[in-house]
Amino acid sequence: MIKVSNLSKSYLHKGKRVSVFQNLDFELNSGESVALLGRNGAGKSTLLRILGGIDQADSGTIEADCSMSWPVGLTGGFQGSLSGRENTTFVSKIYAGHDPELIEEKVRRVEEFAELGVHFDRPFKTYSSGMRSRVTFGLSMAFDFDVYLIDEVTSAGDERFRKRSKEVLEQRHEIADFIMVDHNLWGLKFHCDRALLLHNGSLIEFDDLEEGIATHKKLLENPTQHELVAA
Amino acid sequence: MARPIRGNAISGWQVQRNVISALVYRELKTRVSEVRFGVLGVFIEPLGVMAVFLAIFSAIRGNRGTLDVALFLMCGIVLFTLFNDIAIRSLNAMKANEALFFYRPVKPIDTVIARGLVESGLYAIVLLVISMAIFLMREQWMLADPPLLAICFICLAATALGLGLILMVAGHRYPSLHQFVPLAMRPLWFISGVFFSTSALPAWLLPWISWNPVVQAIELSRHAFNPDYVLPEAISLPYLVTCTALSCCIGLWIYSNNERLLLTR
Repeated sequence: MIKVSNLSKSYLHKGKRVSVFQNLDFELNSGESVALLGRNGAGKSTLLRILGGIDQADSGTIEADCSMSWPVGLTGGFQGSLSGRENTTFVSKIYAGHDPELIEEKVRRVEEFAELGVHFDRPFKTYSSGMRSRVTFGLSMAFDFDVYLIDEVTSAGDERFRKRSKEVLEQRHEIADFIMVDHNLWGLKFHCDRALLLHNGSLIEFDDLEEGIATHKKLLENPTQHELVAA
Repeated sequence: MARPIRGNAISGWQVQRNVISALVYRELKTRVSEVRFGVLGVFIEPLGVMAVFLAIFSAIRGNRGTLDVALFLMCGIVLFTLFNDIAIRSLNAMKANEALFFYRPVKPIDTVIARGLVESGLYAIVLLVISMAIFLMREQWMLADPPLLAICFICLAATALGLGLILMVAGHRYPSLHQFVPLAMRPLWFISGVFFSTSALPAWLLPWISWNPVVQAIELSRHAFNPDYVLPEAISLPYLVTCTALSCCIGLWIYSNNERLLLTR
């Protein structure tokens, strides 16, 4: 279970405080996956980063009794001059600890999923965005977390990668929960039970995903329709 | 639908050990991948720099007193460079490693410790290789007190690490320090006893020089090579160890009070 209370975040921009969101309150029960909706720049990724513990909120608390992944699909933390294998080994050493066999097994799983052939041993900076997605997605799924924070994972990559990542997500969904950001709304419908909509710095919960998506679409068309949110 | 919580709980120390060993792995691999000739290439640059310094300054200085001039200069140059590198790299640690904090277990202090370990290992090997070369040239073994040399080296590295933690926090709060600190390191080079021995200083000047833990470590390490190399009373191992302890304590205290700030974007 994840319990968020009174969460606020702002950035300092040219000496002025710019608020991203204020006083968010919500609870996520274990066993349910949620879609995080909102227009570009609404603060979805910021919220994911704070949930993942890689950014700090100004105020408010997050209580969680489960392990949370790093935001899946982002390539931050990868060293361009190192190969896919070396970068994978690096992250495996952080999470899998001192056991060389376990680390080797994780790296093998990523290598098998990524299907990059010889390129797995070439520098990461030479990879195309699709190849990067294959490695980062494979890496995230090589580790068992209770909750996966998924940020636009399936947007890059070819047909085969999309199909296989969908299969892997489905399998993983049986034992783990997702908090997903995706502008491909169909993917959200497939995995999520509920929706959280970020709009103008506040958050609206929808128990029905379809209803959330409908409101989200209306707000995309007409962002000043605040009464939709107030209702 | 309740599920048991997966993942085996491991202690904070184990997490930190795993993270540091991963960072050291990454650092070593990166260095090797960025130079030619593989692992050897990593040592060529510092060895080359040291060799050039040694050649120039031994030509200027000529042989002095009880300690071979090459050994005398090597102690100064290697130890000062170690101190300088750890401190400056820690100052830049936040910028250089920003992307790594993406993985939650990685904290800023881990990147500083990992870099410090890599630098220490690198310069320890450089120091050994150069002393070996000097021993071979002189056809004489001249290291009288290896433990003292090791303690000086470790104390200086740890002092630099403590200072590095302070610099990392300070540099994050006051970005102008990124220009100022490297400038301040230059005068430090001249007062750190890289070229002179403290026993040759006039008595009135000594207290102004000997407060500096870098001088202490350099002079003590020279003494470790040859016990006949005279040290003034102001140079002592207990003083160096005290400096190290102080630097580490203050560094850790400042760091632990500012970790949250460092991780806020």
